[in-house]
Amino acid sequence: MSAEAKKQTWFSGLGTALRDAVLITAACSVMGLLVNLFHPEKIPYIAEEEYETLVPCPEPGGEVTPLEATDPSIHAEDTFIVDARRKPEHQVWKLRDAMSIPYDYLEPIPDQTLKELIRRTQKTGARRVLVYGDGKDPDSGEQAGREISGKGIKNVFFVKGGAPALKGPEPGGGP
Amino acid sequence: MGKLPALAILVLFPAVAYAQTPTCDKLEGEQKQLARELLSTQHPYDCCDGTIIECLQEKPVCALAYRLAENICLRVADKQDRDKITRGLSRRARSMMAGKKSKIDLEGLSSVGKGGAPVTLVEYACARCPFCAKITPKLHEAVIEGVLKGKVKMYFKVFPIRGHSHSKETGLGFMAAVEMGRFWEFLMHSYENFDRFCIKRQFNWAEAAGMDKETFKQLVADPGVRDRVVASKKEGIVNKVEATPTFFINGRKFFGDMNFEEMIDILEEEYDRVKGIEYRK
Repeated sequence: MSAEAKKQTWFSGLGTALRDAVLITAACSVMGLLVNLFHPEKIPYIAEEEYETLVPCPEPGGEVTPLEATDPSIHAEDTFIVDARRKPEHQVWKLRDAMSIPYDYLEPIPDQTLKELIRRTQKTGARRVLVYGDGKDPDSGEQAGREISGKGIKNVFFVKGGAPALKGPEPGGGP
Repeated sequence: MGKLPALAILVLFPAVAYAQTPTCDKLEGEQKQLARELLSTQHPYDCCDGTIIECLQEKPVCALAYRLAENICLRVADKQDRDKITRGLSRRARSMMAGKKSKIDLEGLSSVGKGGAPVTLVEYACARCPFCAKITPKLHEAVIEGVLKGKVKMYFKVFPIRGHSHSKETGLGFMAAVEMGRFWEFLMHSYENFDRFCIKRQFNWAEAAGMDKETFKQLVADPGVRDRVVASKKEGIVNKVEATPTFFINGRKFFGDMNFEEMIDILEEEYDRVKGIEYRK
């Protein structure tokens, strides 16, 4: 077949496809109009009043399970630990080799940080992610856990009471 | 023969009682049937022990029973089904009868409405929440010059939703406007122009709301203003705010249906309760 003939066949095929598309669209439209005509609650062709669906906007987040600071799974090897406190606090004390992801109440955790978290959990073969925070009300660990879980990471836990509960009573009577 | 008038009274009496609220009177056919069924099975959560229809028959008429009857008939007219209506009533009861009141810090916030108004409405909202942009100006108007005038004073607490683009910057903008004493003007302008938002416009909007652009810019970048936004958000989290808008009426979290008409009705109900208005005049 010559190039000219091929081109002609291609255009002819395109024309048929376009014609069929127009016919199918027209048939569907006519069917829709007929169904609406015989429907007891007809949909008006022109909206009589402004249509809007308004629902409250939820704070994004997922499920997170609380754990007591004494729970043995906190120290299991397949637990990946995240410290949600601020950097200076993390530098002073941290649980094992906890990854620092400081929780900010106004800004989401950066995508790059989440990618790094996923990479490190996969590398260590961790089966759960444990987050601890400042242990206050609200607890930054719980909030960070919710956000991490909401981004699709499974088995996210947080430590009730946060870092103060993990550290135990400090010498001198402090928490 | 003597039994016939008594029978007629028995048959007609519920209909007479039923025909006591304007919306219920307008219902017909299946809708009327559903409304009657609900009024005969649901109880007001205060003021009267019987079913709503029984309470409507008593003299004087319990104000809450009348209010709930009208609410049920409005929902029926709105084509809500039985389950949705009973769920709505149950959430309303939960909102109004909750014993626990939340701690909300209102210091330094500007309110609208009369200072001595007996009902305090607090709204946690995000500057970039479309629902908030619709309902807040309507409530503002109702409090300033509408049916809630003199009854309700309204406060606004910033609660930036992390999923909303620019919620942080606009939240800081709202708080900066609080600091500059032009909060409600700025809020109304921002919500009126909600769909025309882009972050650079915020500073022009501040000017349009009567603020000095440069001072506003400085405050938006001020760590103290940021701390106040964070504190407002933390307080919301402690008070179990999980979405915006979330309302607190005299310290109690509102769980009911979040539409303007329902909000007005429930705020008037709270006003009646605080003022000790138990029966209809």
